[in-house]
Amino acid sequence: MWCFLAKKTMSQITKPLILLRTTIDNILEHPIIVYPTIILALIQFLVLEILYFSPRYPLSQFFSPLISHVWSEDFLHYPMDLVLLPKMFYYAQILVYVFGGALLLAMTTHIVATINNNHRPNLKNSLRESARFYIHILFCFILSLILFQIFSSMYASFVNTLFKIKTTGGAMAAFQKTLLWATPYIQFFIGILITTLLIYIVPIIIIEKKKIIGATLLNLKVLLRSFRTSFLVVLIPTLFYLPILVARNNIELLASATLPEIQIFIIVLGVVVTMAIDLIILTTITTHYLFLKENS
Amino acid sequence: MKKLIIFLITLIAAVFILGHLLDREGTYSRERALWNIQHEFQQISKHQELAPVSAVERIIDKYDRFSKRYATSPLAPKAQLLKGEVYLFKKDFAKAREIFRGVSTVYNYNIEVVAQATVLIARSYEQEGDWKEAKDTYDSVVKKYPLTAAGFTVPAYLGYYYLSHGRRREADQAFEDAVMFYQNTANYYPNSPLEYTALRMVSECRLAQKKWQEALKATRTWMFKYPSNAMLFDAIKTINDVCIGHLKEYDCAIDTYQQFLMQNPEHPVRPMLKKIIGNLEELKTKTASNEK
Repeated sequence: MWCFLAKKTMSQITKPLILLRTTIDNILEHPIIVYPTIILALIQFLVLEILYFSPRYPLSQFFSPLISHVWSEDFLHYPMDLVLLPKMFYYAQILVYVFGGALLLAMTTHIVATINNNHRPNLKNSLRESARFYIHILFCFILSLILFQIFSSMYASFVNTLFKIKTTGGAMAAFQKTLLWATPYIQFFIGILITTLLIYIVPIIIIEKKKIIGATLLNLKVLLRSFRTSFLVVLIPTLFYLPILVARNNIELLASATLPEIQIFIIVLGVVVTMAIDLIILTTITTHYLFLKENS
Repeated sequence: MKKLIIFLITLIAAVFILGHLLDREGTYSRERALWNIQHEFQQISKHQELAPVSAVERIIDKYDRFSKRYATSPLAPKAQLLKGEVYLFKKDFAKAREIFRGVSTVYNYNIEVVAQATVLIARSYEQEGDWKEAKDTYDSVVKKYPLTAAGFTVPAYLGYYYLSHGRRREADQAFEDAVMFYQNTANYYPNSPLEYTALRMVSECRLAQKKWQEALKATRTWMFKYPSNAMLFDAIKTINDVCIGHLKEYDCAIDTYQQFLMQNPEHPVRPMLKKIIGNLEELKTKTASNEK
């Protein structure tokens, strides 16, 4: 039996934990689902490697003038280059997603949908089908970036307003300090919220062959019916990223206690965990969407 | 797709091997090797009394091997100076000075290295408690190598030294001398990075002297003359600290920022400065109403 859902009942499928467990079982049963994610992770590793070697010969011939001009010459020397590495990799990651990453994730959706329809998945076919909707998938990615910026700016304005309040007591000062410390974690949860708000867009584009606007509207409709489940499906796997976030926020401490190269280890771990999270969320949400469609 | 995965893994492995092979003896690898020795020494030297003698000797040996292996590298004198600092840590001041003098002789063509070695000789006298000899050596650095990276900071350092030893009058005199030195340098090298650094040092000295009006004036000078510099945020922070924290005058900060915006209407910090001006005006009104 190819269909994931046939094995589960209605009450079971709406439970996020059961949904996630089914996803993991199915990924293990059909390793083909993982292929696009592996490729995306490998592309990111290659980019990271190039950036890591950028201050050294022969890549330094191209990168040195660039780094000196944009940042500073200091970042061409050890260990300062490793301080800059996460920043450069972040910008490179955006480019990787724009030029193909989004497409590879859409392929995952297509493969999952094909398996659910009891067909044998074909990678070339999935790539062709996803490529047809590349521009719409790209818009979805840009939309999530814009929304994240808007929410983050709103949060920053809120924090600024709070900081304008003159502190006379210790409680307010402590609250302001905590707020400052918690900023990356709050942004992390803003990210989870935005992912949830847009979560069905890619499956809808691929399965229903809809354009970005139609897909966004249908996404909201689906979300209204199953916000709790969708939110938990995004939240539970994403929480596995929290230890990496903690490590990233304490990177100076970690690097001084160990070696500056710890930055690379954390980036690599971050890519692996992010890819696993994306894969699980996308597979689960596609399965869930197909289930909801079947039962509507 | 399996083929693509295998291709990518091979490519990553190839880039990794090539990257390491091509720079095996390159500058970056040397920098890392030197940094690792420095880091190891830092770990050992955290507690001077508990530092094992053998570990300190091992560091010295590592610096020696580094200097021998990369004798022609620009990092070789740096390794020797760092070795001298290990002897300073061991309180073997005579040996440390011998190393620093040796570096000065061998690398006498490199004025930066010589200045740095001379400053370290002065530091060794200072740590030994011979301030007279230290002061004479510091003065010689200022006289002979005033524009080197090591020599340039010495005039201000002397002020800070006296300040940290509670010798307020001498500190004040040293800072006055330093201001004169930096001001002269700025005048001799107008429109250059040296002028910018000199002007910044003037404002540092004035801040250390707690001469707030002069500090404000000096900071304004470099802020207005070098508006495109990345250190502009430092200027804004200093002006806020001086005007609000010490002079208790909002107007001097507001006027400075308004003048800056008038002179640099298209500057990227414009939105931020406008926001700061707004906030300061708000605070000024609040303070005035509270006082009433």
